Amino acid sequence: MSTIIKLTDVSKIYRTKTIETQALDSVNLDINTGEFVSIMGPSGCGKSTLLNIIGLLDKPTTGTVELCGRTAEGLKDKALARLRNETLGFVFQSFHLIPTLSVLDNVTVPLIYRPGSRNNRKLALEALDKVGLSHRVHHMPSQLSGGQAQRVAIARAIVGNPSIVLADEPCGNLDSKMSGEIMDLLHSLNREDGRTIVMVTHNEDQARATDRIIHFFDGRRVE
Amino acid sequence: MITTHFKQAWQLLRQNKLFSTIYIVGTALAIASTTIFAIIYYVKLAPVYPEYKRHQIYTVSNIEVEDTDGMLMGSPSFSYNLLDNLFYKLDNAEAVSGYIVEPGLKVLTVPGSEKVYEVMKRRTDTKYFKIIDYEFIAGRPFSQAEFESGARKLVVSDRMAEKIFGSAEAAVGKTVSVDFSDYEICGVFREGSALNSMSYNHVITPYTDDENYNSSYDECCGRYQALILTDNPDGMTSEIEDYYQKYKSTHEGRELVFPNQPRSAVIRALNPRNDEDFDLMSVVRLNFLILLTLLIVPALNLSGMIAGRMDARNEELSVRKSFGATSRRLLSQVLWENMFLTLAGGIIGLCLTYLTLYAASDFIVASIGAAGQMWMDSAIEMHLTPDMMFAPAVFVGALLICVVLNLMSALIPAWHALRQPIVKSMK
Repeated sequence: MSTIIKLTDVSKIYRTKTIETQALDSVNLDINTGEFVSIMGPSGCGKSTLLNIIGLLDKPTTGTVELCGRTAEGLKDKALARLRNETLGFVFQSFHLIPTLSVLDNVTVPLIYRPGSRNNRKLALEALDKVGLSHRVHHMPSQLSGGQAQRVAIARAIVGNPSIVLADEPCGNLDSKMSGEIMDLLHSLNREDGRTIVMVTHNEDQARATDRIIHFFDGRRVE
Repeated sequence: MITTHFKQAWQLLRQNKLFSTIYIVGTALAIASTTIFAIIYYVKLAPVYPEYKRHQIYTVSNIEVEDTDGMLMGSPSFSYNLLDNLFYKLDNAEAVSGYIVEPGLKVLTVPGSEKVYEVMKRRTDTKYFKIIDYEFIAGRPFSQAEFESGARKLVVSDRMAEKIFGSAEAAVGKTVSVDFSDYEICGVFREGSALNSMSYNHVITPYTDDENYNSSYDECCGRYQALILTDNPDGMTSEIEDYYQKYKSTHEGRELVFPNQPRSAVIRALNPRNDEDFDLMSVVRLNFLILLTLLIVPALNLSGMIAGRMDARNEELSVRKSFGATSRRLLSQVLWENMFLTLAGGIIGLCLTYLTLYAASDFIVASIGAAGQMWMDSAIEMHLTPDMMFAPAVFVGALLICVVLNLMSALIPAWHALRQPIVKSMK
């Protein structure tokens, strides 16, 4: 299997005038195509920072990030945006649906930033069908339950057919029944579509169900 | 894409009613104040009916004559002698019209009727109709032959004709008495606005209707003023200066001068009293500052409101960035969305402008009247004509103001918000 995510000696230091905080310390990480990887660790250990750096939402202080064989180092805003759009899909703990857009329009968001994208509506409807929400397309986010909102967020994450889905505690705001549904959905995306999924979680049961667990403590990988 | 932005702006408007209402009302007030300001200057300076040739029209009125003993004589008008020997003979003028200044309103009556009308009368020549482009609704202006013969012909404005006879057509051929002299109506013209002093009249007669039209108490001072239509103001001025020299040499040192004249209609509008120390650039600077203040003060307020709203929208912008939007694209989105609100404010602002112009015409007239030789008389209706208020230039101006206000109020808060790291507002 080929490596789809490669982090080499990645460190992240947050600096203020008075304090310097090392969020990540020389992290090396290889994730293969089609893997479902969990990242675990106590709060503040650097899990979310790692996910943000993999998702190109944040830049490492030192080290390099490669996605699908392309290095992110030195890329300008436009190129980074394009790489994110084509390669990555995000699922957040708080869903982060845009409250002023309908379900359908929310799912269409990644496609409108893709140059030359066509059939946006059709693709969005297919993605919503896949997460079992094709009957809610014209609803507004405020009209959805937590589980439904997270399904819409997953539809949005996969509508652009990215190779990698990054999920930051996707079940953190859901009850156990809904969490089970969302995990099933993520597993089916991994198995059936072959997408690489990197998930941050505190839940050991959910983590055990994935291909690999990576533990973090104080910004370092621990075995 | 723009449709999507407007769709979202509509949703934002519905979901943030208080913010949107305050924003739209604030924008409307800003645009109304600037548009009223723009309309005032448009009416003063732009070619509006019937003064379409404003930018080619020059005026001459007051004269100063200095005698050999140093005595200076001034008059607000000059003699027929100068009209005939100087102005009518200008080679660099396309047309010259002389007219007699008769201040105040005249009494108009209709034989057989006891009704009395107060009218503004102009006594002039046929060239006046070449310089001022009246639209004749019925009949025609008096002819050159009628002018030369001193025929008692008269043209009347459509408003006055309708008031007296019920319609423009019914007026033609009728006899009316103006200041107790009878005239036959030969034409009816569409009345302009009282704000345009060069062309606002109720009745126009040939100045030759009085056999003493060419007499005056002095060789230079008299009762006449002139409108000159020319494409070559420099040539015209040079001709007039040559005449000064010629006059001086043939009158034993007696000197005449039309101070700061001929003046263009534009300069006349900006400096109606013909102040010697008038400085066009300082007037432009002052008006630019007023306009800027009218825009900056609301823009700062709106900018503060937008900054507050951008904080609330940071999460959305970060989500969009994480799915591939560039900062530039998002900036354009925010500006388009804001433009939607600004345009809504602009439309309301325009309505507010017209309501204000309709309801507070006295104030507007006072603003322009101070600069436009107005006759503040109750008999004169101070209306703005539709071509003044609904001119394409006014709409384009209002749209430009919308764009500028939008940029001024939204650009900095949006840019600031988009510079925030994506992860800051994502949990």
